[in-house]
Amino acid sequence: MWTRQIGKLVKRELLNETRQQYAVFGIILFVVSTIFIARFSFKAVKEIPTWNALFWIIMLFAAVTGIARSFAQESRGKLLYLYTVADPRALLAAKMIYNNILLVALGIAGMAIYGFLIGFPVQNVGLYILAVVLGCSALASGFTMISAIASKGGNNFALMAILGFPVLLPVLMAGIRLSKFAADGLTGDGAWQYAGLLIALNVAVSALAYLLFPYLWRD
Amino acid sequence: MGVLLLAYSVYAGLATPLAPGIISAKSSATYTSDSTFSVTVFGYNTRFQSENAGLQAWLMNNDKPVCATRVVVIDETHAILHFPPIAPIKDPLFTLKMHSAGDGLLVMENAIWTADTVTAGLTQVCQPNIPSEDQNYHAYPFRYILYESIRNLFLHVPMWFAMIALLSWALYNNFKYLRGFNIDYDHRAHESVKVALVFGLLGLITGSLWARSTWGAWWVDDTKLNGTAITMLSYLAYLVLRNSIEDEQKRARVSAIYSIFAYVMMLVLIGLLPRLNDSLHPGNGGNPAFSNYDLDNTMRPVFYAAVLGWIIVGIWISGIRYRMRKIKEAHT
Repeated sequence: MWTRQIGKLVKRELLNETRQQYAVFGIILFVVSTIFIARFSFKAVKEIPTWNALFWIIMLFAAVTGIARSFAQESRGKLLYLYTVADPRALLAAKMIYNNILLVALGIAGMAIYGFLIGFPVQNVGLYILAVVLGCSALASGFTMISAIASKGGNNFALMAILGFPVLLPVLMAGIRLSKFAADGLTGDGAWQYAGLLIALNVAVSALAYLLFPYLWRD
Repeated sequence: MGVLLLAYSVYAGLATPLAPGIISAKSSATYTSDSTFSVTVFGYNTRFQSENAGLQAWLMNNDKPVCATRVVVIDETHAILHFPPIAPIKDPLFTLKMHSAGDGLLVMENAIWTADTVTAGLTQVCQPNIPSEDQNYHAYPFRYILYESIRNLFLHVPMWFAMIALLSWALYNNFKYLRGFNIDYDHRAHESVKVALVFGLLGLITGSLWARSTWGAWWVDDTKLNGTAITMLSYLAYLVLRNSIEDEQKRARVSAIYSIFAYVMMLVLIGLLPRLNDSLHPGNGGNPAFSNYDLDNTMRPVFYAAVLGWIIVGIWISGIRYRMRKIKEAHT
């Protein structure tokens, strides 16, 4: 019963997206225009640390922009309806799954466009893709929860950024380190430590959100 | 009682002298195997003159000691040691050791370097006469780079312990709030977080001063420093969040949830990440931790007293603030 609820809710989100298409296309536009700006300024970024950092900055801001509306766009009537109909945890799980899919897809697509326009000096491509997937997934889970918290506080973008950045900085640091490992072509203990850390952070954030969301939801 | 503990730790922290040690040792010759050479030694808190007769000195190479032929004492902290020609066996580095009844054993690793190539023979091996452990007065360990600033251990580290203790107290109060929705717990948590932030700020300031005197810079790019700064930022964001919600119960609920989040992240940032990366801080990134290296028995009681003292004072301050707030609210 519960998984069916989640399934229906995820389908609802996807349906919402295909109807009001501005959401996904908005983020894609954001990512592509930032990459273009980078290309016009830098022409080509050769050094790996700069290249890597730029990519992650773009992904971070895309995440914040994309997920900020996740809770904010529900109007009051819809919220009340959802409150009566659905289990809060199912709703949270659905939003998290949807945001995860969105951000991971965006990460891969962004990586492709970034590589196409600015260059792709990555040695270990498989590990890099893994780093992007894990990092974006952890960011998505974290920002979903932060967006839920911020939506109670007035729905402004600034609040979500203020709340989100300090708390999700470990995720960002681990993601940058792991992807730098991949870009440099190194493997071994250090790399898998960071991958493990990313997965652990993702699980921790999701578990916390799962436990705490029902308290947040009673409104 | 917390104040008493604090007073004890501050007094003991400042009044106990530092153990004697060798600050610098300079050789007069580049090649040690040509002829006799002399080593000029500057000590710290040493009593060379008072111990003149009992002062022995020797150089070690590959664990074989060579005694000084003559020791000339200039004053309490300045002495010149004369050595016979020595050819190194293992590395071109000699460890300088000095001993006297009052100062105990003074060791300076890799004090003298020689430009000689390493050969097989070593002349004039001697047996210095050292009794077993004879630390006869109460002093703090002498550590290179730190010197006197080791006393900052009593101020800087307890700040962080107190901050974590206060944040744990706030976490506990947040949990209690989410169970019963009694607004008092939320107020307690709020005051605890504010006092914790003050302690964190003090910890950053004391750490920065300590860094300036030992590492040479006010701020370095170190994982633990970044982690603590980010933790402070996230709790400042907690305060911002509280200001942005009007309704009291809603505010309490939302900030409790965020604070639980931030606490878990803090544990990751301050505890977990520094152990994974390289770091200048003792205890992280491959450096030996303070506990088995520097925190010997002379420092331990003062340190624990300081930690307990600051934790108690911190919780006391936050309790007072909470009570003041309750009284203010009752009167409006």
